[in-house]
Amino acid sequence: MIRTILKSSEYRRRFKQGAKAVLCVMLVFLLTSCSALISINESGYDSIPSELPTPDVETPLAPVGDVTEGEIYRANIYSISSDGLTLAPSIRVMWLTGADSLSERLSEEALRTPTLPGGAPIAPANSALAYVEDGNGIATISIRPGEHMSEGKSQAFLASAMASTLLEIEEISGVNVLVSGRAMEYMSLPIGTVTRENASLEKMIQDASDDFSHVSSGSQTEWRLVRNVTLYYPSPDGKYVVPEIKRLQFDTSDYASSIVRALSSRGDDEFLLPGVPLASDALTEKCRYVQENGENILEIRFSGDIVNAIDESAVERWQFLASVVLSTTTFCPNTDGVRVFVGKSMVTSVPDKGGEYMSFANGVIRRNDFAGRIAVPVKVYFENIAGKLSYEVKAVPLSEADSVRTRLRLLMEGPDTYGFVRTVPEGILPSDILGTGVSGSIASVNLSSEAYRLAQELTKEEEKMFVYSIVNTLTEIDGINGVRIYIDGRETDTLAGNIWLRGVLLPNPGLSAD
Amino acid sequence: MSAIISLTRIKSIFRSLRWQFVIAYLLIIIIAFTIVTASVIQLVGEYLFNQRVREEERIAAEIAQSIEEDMLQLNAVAMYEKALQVSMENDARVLVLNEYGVVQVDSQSLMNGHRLAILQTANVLSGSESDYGYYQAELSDRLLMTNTASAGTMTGIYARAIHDDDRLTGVLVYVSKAHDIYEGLMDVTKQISLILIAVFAVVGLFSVLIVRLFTHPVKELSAGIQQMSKGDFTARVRVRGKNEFSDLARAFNSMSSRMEALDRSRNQFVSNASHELKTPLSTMKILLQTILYQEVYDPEISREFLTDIDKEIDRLSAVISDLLTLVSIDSGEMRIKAAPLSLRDLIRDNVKRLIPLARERGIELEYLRYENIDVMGDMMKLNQVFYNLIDNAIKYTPRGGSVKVELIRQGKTAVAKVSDNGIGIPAEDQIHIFDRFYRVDKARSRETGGTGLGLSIVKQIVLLHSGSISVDSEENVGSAFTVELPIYQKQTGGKSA
Repeated sequence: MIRTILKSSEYRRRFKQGAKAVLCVMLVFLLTSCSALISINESGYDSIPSELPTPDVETPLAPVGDVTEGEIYRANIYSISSDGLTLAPSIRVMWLTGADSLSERLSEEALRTPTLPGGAPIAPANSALAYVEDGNGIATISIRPGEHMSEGKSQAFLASAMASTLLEIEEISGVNVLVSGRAMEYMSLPIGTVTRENASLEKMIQDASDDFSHVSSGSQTEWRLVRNVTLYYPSPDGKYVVPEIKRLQFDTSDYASSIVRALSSRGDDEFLLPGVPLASDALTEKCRYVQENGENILEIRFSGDIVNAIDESAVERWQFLASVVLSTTTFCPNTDGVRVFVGKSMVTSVPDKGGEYMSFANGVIRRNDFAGRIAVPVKVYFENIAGKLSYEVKAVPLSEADSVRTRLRLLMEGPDTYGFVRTVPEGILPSDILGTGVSGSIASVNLSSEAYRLAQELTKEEEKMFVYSIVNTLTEIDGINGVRIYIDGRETDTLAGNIWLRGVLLPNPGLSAD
Repeated sequence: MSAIISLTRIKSIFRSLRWQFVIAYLLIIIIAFTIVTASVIQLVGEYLFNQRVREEERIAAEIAQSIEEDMLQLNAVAMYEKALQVSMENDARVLVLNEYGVVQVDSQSLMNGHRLAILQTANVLSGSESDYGYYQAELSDRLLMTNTASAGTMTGIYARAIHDDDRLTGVLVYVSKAHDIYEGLMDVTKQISLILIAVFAVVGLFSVLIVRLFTHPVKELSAGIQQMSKGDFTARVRVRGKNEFSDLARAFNSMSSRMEALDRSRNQFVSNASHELKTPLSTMKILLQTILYQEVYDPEISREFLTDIDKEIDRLSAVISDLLTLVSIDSGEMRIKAAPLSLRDLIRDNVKRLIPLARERGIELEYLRYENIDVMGDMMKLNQVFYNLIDNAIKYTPRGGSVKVELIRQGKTAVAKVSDNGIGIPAEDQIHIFDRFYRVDKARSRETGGTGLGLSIVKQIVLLHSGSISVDSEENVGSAFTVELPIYQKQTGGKSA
């Protein structure tokens, strides 16, 4: 029966139809498969792991108080070689504590007995370091000589050796060497601020010789001297003066007049104000020296217009005096003090901050009168209108130039620039900084739990701005490359759920508008 | 109705061989093209993809190595500048992560401080030197936004370890837009599709033309066959080329010619046969009418006429008998009863039978040479053959002439020859001598009682015995008819070839 069915024409017809249908389906399948080959396999996201592996690293303890770790420092200390003709470095390994200032330690080491066999000290015996002003890349050191220091080459040796030693510090670009608070000269010409270009003894002597030949041979109209000069400019907050190195050309030996004229312009850093805010020539006559009680006193006479000019500007009167006195005494050789005349009146006092007055005995204004008022500009980051971080330059005393806490305090004080927004949440105070620390190139900040609580209200963007304003600000400190943030002595995952706080945070240059 | 008609017409169109060929061609082209295209695109895509992966892994490795020192020094500015430069040059995005997987540097400055918890980062932080993956960027996915990528684009992520000697210090993540590969392949696909459509059109056009070359001869052949089926045997088809179609055309033309010849021959035969049949009937009619309508009955004349009528009846009977024999042969009904027989004896018997006739006519009949040869044959039919040939020879030899019969062996063939010195056959008649109803001298053959079919029958019988017959004659000299038959081989039990 099956054979009959198989042989029947109806069966065969249906079989053929079925076979055709199957072939059509196979053809469609084949073409579809080929088309599928053309499309690129687009994978979706692989499943995101819930956790990344925790690294096996040791987390340092959170700082309490202000802590700076000590470190071993290898320094090149320059002293006079055995032939007495050149300077040679010798390596000294020293332990720097957190309280030490590197420039101070190096200066002290340089004044010590040299370790070079047969070498000579760069300063007279029993010389000591009087003070060091180190900020904004400029180190001004004053040496108290143990004995009288002869003029001439010995001063060149001293200036070169100290400058070479201090210029080994990467952050320092210029060095002023004072002896008993006086600027030095060589071959009757001021040495000025020593930079890396002219720190070597040979260069210094050669330049001086060339300059001396030029000035002594030429007529008065051809007299010309070019020197690096440290000028001091008023900070806009009225609290400090900030040093900057300028290269000045002197057409006369009246260095002070040239310096005063240079101070009528702003500093290279636009945040700094002109020290002498008078467009026209503020001086009524040439500056001159008078001898009083064995001291060389430089007299500078200003026109009476200077008072109005000062009052109309953002410059405080004492800042004006500080600019003029510090700038001239740092450069002009053998200057013990400055007497300033405004019109016919001699300045004997000047209003100070807080309503007090600074008084100057006999009208002689000295460098030391402005001790503690020399500052460095620091960048503090705030949020601008565009939602990026922009810095505001603020002046910070030299002693606090590298202070983490000071920078944080400035952040918390908020910006002065219009359009800038404070990034630290309201309510967080300097007292919420439980501790700061510096270890190597990493600054640590230990905030209180109250600060953490207040930060929970922040949005994602606000959290980012808060954290990176801290990081970007603190990494502006020389030698600081990263920041650790602790909360109440411990590391936490995030501040407010977004920015990860474990490990070291690096600055975000792309977030900065500058 | 018009729709049904159209559908029917469409169906009829697609049933035609031409369209079936065209569709078959197109299908083959499409399938082959699609397979090749898909394979090529797959291979090209894989090649481009692998090349891209290798290149970007190299870039990632280079960047990772270049920032190793910066990472150690925590120099974010240097790393950011390098990341920015590389991202600009390669339209990519570079991120540097620390050992926690936290973004420290981002060329787009979007993800700093965020933890990049993706598979590639996890694998590198777990110990792999490198890893990569491809993703579809979503709008909300800030990670996968390169400089110019937009939502929906394909993005590649390469992660590479950053080392300080053996210690892992971070991860370099290189994010690149891979959509250009995809777009490039889509462009290629589109172009190939356009080419496919063009090829489709060209192939369709050419296949229609080419198929026509094949189907046209078939159509011509079909027309020829239809013409022939209507009875017109003059139909011929044109022979083109040297292929199967030309062989078919030639075969058809040959068949046509043969059928035309056969038809003509049949017509001729019918014409001749009806004439042969009509002639004695007419004669009989005249004789009978003469008898019937004589005014005075004359018994002598009546007897003479009746004798003539009797002869005509005999002739008519002989013609009909011969016709039936030929018809039987033509239709294949005639069967030879083959059996081994002695050809020598068969011929001798016929010679003996015809000696009296020959003597009566004054002709010398001799059986000159005869070998003992056996053939496989029908005795009755072969008797008819040799009786006919010898009888013809006697008929067409004048008094005093001679008829000689010979039988010899030539190889595996028996050759029987009947020769006379009679009137001979003109050369132009020799080729028709075996045709039906063909008479060289009609009057003479009528006198001798011939039907005009004898030699045709002889030839057919010889051919049935796988033999051949030929004539060699010269007018007024004589004729010789030669019959060749295969010799019967007793040992093999069959006829020799």
